[in-house]
Amino acid sequence: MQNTLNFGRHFAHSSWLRIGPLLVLVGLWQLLAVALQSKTLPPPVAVISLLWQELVAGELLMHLGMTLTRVAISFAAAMLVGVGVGIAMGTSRVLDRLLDTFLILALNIPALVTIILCYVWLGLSETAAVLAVTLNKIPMVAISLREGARAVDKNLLQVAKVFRLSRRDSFFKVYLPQLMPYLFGAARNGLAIIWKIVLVVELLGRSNGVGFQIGNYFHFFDITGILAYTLAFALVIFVVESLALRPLEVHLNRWRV
Amino acid sequence: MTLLHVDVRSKVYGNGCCAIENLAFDAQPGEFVALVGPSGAGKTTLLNLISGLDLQFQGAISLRANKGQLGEPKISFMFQEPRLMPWLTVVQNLELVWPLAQRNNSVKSLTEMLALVGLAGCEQLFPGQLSGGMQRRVALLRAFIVEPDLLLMDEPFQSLDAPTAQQLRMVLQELWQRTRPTVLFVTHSLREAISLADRILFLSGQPSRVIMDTPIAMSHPRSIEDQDVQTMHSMLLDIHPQLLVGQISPSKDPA
Repeated sequence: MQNTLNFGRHFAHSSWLRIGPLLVLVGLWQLLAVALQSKTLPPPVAVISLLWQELVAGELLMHLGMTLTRVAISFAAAMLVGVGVGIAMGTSRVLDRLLDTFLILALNIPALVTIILCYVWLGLSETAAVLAVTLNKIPMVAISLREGARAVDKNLLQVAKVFRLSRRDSFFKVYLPQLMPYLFGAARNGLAIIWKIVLVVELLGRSNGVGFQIGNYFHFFDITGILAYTLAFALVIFVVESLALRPLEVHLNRWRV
Repeated sequence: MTLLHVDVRSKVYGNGCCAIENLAFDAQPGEFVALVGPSGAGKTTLLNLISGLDLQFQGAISLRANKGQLGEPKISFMFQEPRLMPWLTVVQNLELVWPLAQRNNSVKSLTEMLALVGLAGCEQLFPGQLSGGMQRRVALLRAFIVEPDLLLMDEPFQSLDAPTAQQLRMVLQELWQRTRPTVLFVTHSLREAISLADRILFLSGQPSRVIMDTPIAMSHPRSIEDQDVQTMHSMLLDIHPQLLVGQISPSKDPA
């Protein structure tokens, strides 16, 4: 019994549990590609070799870098503004009533509309591109943080008040830690959505970036190219998740025993 | 000289229910005052008024610092629940409320203080890793570490088993005798009140006011099991059988 348990735990911890399904998927893909022999479904080997060529000799790094920069800027801006708006709305009933309609509206306006309007009003510029992405993301962050601010434990805030903690300590050591689950939720969702929108923005009005490249490959019906760029993208996400988000989350959650 | 002067003419809840009416008392420096009353008598509400957490009431509450001290009087609060920050370690929880200047002037270090309340070696643990009794020890130390002029305690040992509660009452008396703040200790247990306080204020049911002010002239520290405490307890209840539901018997009242 003890042994099976240990084995189970060992197995759950091993990275095979993460990588295994991925290998199965790639295997199936390879089989299907060989069986169909279709131009629209290149085998994984072709995709990986193109990815390698682009990485070593091509412009992949430049395009990826441009996209990442846009993602980083709009992610940071959207989180900052969204967190502020969300906390304000979750704390003040008046602000909540005032802004609620706009929040619902902003949340439901299609990303494409925001992007087109930004490009039309501000021109096909970098500012317009980043602004369009940021505007799309802010309401989602705000709505998640509003829930968090509403669920804040008033008892702990009373402790801060009675012991006359500074505003800084009250915010960073009593208030903000309670919002962490909501912040992480918003960050994960945020990153995922922002990636997607940035690509559309690049496709519509930029002359570099992964979105622009995918657009090019689309014109030539080059599926291998599209998949190679998608793969590069997926790799970056895994790196961000496993080197930044997950370790940070584990560190911040170490008190949950 | 008076440290705390309370005169609440009326405190009405949001639902229109009158919680406190004409409740007045004074407390002297270094005095340990227990507030005993039936549940729902507005005891927690009263502490919230005194601590300044709740400012909506008619009347006056004044507090001044001990002689020779500069600045505003310091208030500390121990709540019904430990209310530690779960994401901070024991040490971080204590440092959070303990201003750096005061920390540097302190004779004892945090480690020594923790040993004093029986928490040696628990510095780096999170509250979730401590038992309920140990969490309350941290909360108790947090309440004393700021060296308050006035310490408010709201049934802090409720929901603990009897031996643990008794240990904590002993720690409380030890800490109290070191710095001697004025303490307002809310409880519904008359035995607990007798075992700790210099003076007991009995409160009526809603709307709450002081119905009896009884001094307890026994030396500290006491235990809830002491014969004197038991005698006092039965004597008080003999004279006023309805005391704990907030009524005194007029016929047997010595006045």
